[in-house]
Amino acid sequence: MIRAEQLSKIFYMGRGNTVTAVQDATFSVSPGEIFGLLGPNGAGKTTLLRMLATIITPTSGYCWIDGLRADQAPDRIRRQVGFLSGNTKLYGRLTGREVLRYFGRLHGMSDADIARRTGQQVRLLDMSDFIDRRCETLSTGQTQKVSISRVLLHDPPVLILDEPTLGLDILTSRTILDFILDARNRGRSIIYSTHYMTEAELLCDRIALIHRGRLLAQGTQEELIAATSAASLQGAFLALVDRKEDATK
Amino acid sequence: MNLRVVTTILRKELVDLLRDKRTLILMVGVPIVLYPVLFIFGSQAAVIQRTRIEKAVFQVGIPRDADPTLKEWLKRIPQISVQKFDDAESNLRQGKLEAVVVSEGNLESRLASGESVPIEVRYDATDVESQEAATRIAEGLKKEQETLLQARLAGVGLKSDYVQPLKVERKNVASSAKATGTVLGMILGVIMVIMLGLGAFYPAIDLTAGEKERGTFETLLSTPATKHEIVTGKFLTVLCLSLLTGLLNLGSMVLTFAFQLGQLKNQIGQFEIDLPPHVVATILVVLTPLAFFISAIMMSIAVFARSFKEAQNFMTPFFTLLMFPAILAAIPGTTLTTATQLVPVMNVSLLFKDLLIGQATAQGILAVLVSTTVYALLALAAAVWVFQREEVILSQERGLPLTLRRGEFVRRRLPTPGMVLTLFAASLILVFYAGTYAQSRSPHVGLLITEWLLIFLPVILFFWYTRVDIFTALSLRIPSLTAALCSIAMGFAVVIFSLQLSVWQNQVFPIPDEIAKQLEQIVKVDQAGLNIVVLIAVAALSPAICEETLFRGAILSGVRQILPPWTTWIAVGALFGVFHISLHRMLITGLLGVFLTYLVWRSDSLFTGMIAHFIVNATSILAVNERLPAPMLRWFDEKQLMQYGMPPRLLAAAGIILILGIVMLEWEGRHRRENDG
Repeated sequence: MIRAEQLSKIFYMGRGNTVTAVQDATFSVSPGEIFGLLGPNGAGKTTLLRMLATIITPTSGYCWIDGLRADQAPDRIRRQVGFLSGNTKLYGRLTGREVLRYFGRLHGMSDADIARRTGQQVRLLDMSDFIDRRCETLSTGQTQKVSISRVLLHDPPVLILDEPTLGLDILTSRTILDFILDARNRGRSIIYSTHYMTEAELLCDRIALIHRGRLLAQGTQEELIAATSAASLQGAFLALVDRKEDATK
Repeated sequence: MNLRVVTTILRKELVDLLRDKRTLILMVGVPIVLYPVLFIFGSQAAVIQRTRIEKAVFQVGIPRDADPTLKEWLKRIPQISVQKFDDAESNLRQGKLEAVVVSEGNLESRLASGESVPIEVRYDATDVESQEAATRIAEGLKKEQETLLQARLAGVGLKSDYVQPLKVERKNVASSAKATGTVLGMILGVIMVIMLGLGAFYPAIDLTAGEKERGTFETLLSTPATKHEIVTGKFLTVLCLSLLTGLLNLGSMVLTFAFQLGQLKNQIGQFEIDLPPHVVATILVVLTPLAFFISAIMMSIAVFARSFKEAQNFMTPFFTLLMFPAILAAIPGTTLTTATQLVPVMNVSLLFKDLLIGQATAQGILAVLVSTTVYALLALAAAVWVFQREEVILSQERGLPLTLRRGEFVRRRLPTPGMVLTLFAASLILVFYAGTYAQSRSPHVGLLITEWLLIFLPVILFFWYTRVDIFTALSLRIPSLTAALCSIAMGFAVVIFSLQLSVWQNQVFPIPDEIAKQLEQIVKVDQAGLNIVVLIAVAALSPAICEETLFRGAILSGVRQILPPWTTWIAVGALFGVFHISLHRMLITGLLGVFLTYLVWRSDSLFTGMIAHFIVNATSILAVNERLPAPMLRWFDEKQLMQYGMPPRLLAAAGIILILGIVMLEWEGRHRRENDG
């Protein structure tokens, strides 16, 4: 469902200065699978996800979503994808319902479908108290619930979620995580980026560890731990980073 | 393009903006409330003031020893109270009197002997009441003079025609509607540019930089809407609000004006407006492409900013620039010609002028509509291009350090566009004030001060302070031999073209004598009193080094990061043209700037720009001082030049040199890139 091959992104900072944000990332995600992208801040997670969501174009390499190559059909790919990141905020002067209607229309949904799906989401995420309030008046948790609804409104087969629980309380986090697990159970392909190890352990079927733009390793939790002889996922990550640093020296 | 997507974006953006108080106040509040209030209170205040002055009785003083006849004459003037004072003038200065009338000697006897009696009416020109008193006295005494003249002429048996052999009368054939139209025509263009600009200003920022700042741009980009659909939806929103603001303002102004017309007629006499429906319709039709142009260009500028505040900083100077052509059009005597039809904004303003005085032609209207639409489409194409650039769309505010301490600045190889624009603005202000002053004191010392202390030094200090790598930013690299030779040859070719251009320009806008004299003072050996070598060092070498450092060094390095090559050449060239603060030199220096920018951009060395700039300046100085070889001097002979222009063969040769130079530089550039890459 999602396939990335040798995906790289180099930012040109002018006159020969470059920053390599992602280098040669290769992986795939099947339907009904949550693929975790685990790495510290600045590792290149968001850039990688932006490329998959066709927000930015890769410098080299390709990615396919649902059989479509991103550089050939970016608009069609965006119909298949729900993308959520810290940079995909909501319009403060619109209400939650208006936001959902707006994005539903941009995804080509009919008004009747939008109303039906909005009703379902409001019930499932318990948003009836605030769905008709302007987004600028909502709390962080309420805002994130509306954001998750925006991503899922058109029921895309692929979800790209960049740290969706960042800054949320435990209860809201649990609701959101349950929602993501439900989407997986309905056969959605999900890429889930986080720097919380516990979340990755809880949610992800397979995990890729990313550091300084490179995927250090990927596999199931058990495979990663076994490959590094570490006691935990965190230990595996640290061991891989150390190994990489030593190799660079 | 999916129309449903575009209308969805348009509707959402309109709702979003109209929910914002700032938009509502600026768009609706200002026109609907401000004009009537300003106009009503303004005109009422004027009426009250006028009535008060008309009804006032002014205190007029005469010296205690003044002739009684003078007092008699003054007493006959209505609403004047005449009193004698020992020191009437000091009372006038203290504001106790509105005017003082002084006359020497015995008036009756002087008049009887046929002499003229000098009478002085002293008043305070800074005081409205004193001015009015002086006018009343002058008019009253004029009547006395007519009576006395009639009596004198009757005494010698002559008619008044005898002393007035010519009766010259100026008769205005313009209808009052045309006169009003002329005044309105002069201001309508400026007002509409301001109003359309104000209408587009805030939405253009809010929908681009504002959206970036609020972090919603990426949300929109994650939808299936294409960039074209997004730009179109947003652009239509800005256009709608710009037009709405423009029309609300125009409507409110017309209504307020019409409402107050009766009162104005009483106050200032003949005052009529003749606006047939077809004129109003044409104004509205022409407003649309103008709003289109302003909206598109404002949007493409605002999108470069990373925050609302930064966008305001970008847009404010641009808005002022936008008004400039409209102000030029308001100058009496400027008319819609084949050339001015092509100048954006100015053409529309001039057409308004013609429409309001009933002199617009179908050809003029069509030409303005077509040229404005072409500019509008180009501006929209630029906006679409900018939106395609992910580094522009996704850039986010990094901001200045909290304090402006040098240590807080991050070391960087190149300056940001914001930094170089700040540098440009600071240099422009320095040159405008300090440079103009220094050059007025001493042209050559002033020029040296301007170039080295006000242009060159600020660049070095600014980059040092903000920790920009001076060598990289200024492209201080030794040029290749090819690039150096090209800059020399192309420099000579450009001299030929700039002279030909100045001939053409002179035919349309002749150079004023004052400016020509000022230039001669600087570049002519006999007037400058300097040796030719020193003169070339001061007026050719210094500008070549200093101006290139600012423009092709600093500004180019900032601007090229956000603009594509051709726009970079034009933008830096245009700034170079504006920098010379001379309407007459703007076009030619601007085009020279475009050439020099290309040269440095392609050769990656500031020195090529310096070489070519020096050649252009030095050749001109040598030509003006007749120090070139005799055959060449013929080309530069002013009379020959003005009559025939440059010889066609020479122009062709210069053209070939330029093309060859470009081909060689491009070839070398490609070769270098291949080696680098």
